[in-house]
Amino acid sequence: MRILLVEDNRRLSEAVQESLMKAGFEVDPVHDGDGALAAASGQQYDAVVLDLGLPDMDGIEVLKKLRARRDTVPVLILTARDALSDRVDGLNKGADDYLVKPFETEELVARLKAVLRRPARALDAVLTLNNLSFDTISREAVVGASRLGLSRRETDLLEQLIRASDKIVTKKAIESRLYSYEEKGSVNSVEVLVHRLRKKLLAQEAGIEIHTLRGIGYMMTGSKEC
Amino acid sequence: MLKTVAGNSLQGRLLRRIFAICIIAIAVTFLTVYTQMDRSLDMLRDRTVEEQARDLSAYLVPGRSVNKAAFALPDRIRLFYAKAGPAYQYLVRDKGGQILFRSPYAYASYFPAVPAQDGKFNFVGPSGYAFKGYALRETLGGNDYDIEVAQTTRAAGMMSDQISDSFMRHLVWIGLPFCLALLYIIMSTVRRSFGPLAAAAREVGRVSITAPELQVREEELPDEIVPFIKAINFSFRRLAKSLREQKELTANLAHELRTPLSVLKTNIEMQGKTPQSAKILRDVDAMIKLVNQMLDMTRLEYADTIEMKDVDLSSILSQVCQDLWPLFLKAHRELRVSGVDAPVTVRGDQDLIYRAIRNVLDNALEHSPAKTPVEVSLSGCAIRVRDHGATIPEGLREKIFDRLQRAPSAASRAGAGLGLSIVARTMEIHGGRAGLEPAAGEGNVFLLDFGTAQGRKAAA
Repeated sequence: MRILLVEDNRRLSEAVQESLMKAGFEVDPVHDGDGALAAASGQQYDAVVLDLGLPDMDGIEVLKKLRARRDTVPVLILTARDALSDRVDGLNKGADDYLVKPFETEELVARLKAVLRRPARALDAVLTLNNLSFDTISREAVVGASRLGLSRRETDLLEQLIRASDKIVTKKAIESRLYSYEEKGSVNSVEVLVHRLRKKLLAQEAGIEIHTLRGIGYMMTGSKEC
Repeated sequence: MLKTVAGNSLQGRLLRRIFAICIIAIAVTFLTVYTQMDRSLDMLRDRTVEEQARDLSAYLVPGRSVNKAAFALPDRIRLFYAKAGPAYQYLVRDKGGQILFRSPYAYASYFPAVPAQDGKFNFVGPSGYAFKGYALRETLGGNDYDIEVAQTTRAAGMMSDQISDSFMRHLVWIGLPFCLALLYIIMSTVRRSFGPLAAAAREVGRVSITAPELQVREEELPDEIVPFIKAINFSFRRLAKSLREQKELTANLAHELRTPLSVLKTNIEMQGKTPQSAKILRDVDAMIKLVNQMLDMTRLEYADTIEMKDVDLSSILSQVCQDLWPLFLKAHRELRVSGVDAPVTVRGDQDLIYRAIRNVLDNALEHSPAKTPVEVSLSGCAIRVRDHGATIPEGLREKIFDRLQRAPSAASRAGAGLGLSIVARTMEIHGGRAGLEPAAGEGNVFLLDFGTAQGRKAAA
């Protein structure tokens, strides 16, 4: 996995580069927006870690230019600005995730892995998380060699959660994806569905956890032990 | 905002002065016309008596005796004087002052025995009427005769007086509406002339510190106030510039402080996990938190410049919960949220509200014992955060929102007090309040009530 690291602070850049390399990534560091755009056009990166406060242009500009030339490379924004509006702006402009400085290296690696898991290109048809893999085309969930045997709705739910792994999927989003308007009457159906999926994943030792943020939504993560 | 001092309105002052001047001018005009007319009438009367005297002198003819004149008045005139009563009188004296002829009602004793050089005389008759007279010296057959004529100045039925009376009456009747019309015209003219000024004042009011980039239009303004508006626009521009710079400075400061902290943190993490590095990391985290809170405080100092918008409290709360949830998971605490399904609109600044809620949630997480949930709920415009930590005693419930106050159990934790004072200040800016409500059993309920000011607005 080759990562483009855009960070103007040399010391932070060096430290991040070192810890990403420890985590098994190859890292190309650049220190300004022009450098980032030049590097991204010369090489296909798997992800870009982009600092917003660059000397020559705003990181958002770099992101906009990348997206303008149809580059779908996953972008993780790194910033010292923690205003909600900045973050919303960044995500609206096409960033895949957002990390506020100072961050933990562990967190950066986890987010980067999550971003890389998401299929940005249609070719990446199989999503994996720990022992679980999900084929988006045949719509089959497999742990090891055995199929999970999920219902249609359970499969839809699994897909939604694994695509957004390590991120919250709101109950509202699940409902609107899974149920048509007439079916929305049963309030607890999402809970029941999550409960069943959780049980099946546990039974197969998929190494997957579905956390509940009660009142808001769910998040799928890989268990720490695996 | 400037308070309007009573009577300090330029328009009012101008109107009052113009009114006063108009009233004085009208009064002077009236008085002048009146006195001028009086004088004209007076002269007219003078001429009348003089004419009468000359008319009468024509009838003074030589008598039968050499030294005695005869007065050959035609019956018409004689009858007139008889009918007029005391209003018109005449008498004729000889050189010795002896009265030779007189009208029947002449107040002979009031007539001057020796007339003045110009012939004019005045007297007040026995019934109080003023009389005006003229004496004409006529020489006839070597003898001098004085023909004296008098008439009342206020004789009823006198043509000239009737004219003057009706003229004055008409003047009042025409003058009154004229005055009112004049005052009205002045008023509306002044008002209209001051229109651009009032419009400019309104516009200056619209261009406030929250929108200093707006400028007051100078094109349609009267020349006199353009310099003022130019000065105001200039200071607005400068204000906008310095506010922009302040904001940039704060943002840069955040960047400048956070980046080295990131470097520090990453470098410590790379040393591998040892009890020593864990301790240092905790200190770094405390420092990061303090820096963040100081930045929040700095932002709140510029509360005047915050632009209030309609924001959805429900989605902000939901966002905070989603963002902080990983910390809860890591700490093995449960977070329960309720009431965020439907949007709740309040006027405010979403970043400030976000931070306030985050501070309360941070605080709740920090003080929650293991295996206890933190419950967050939104009902109406009020957010409640319930933890199951040590109950804060009643005496401390107010103090905990003061700057640098901390719950006793958290005395060693940096920044907690600053966090809650940020919350209190944020709520104050939004016209709401932050408080602690008594909880059933162990724990605390933190209340962020946006409803105190905003609920009323929504109800209206």
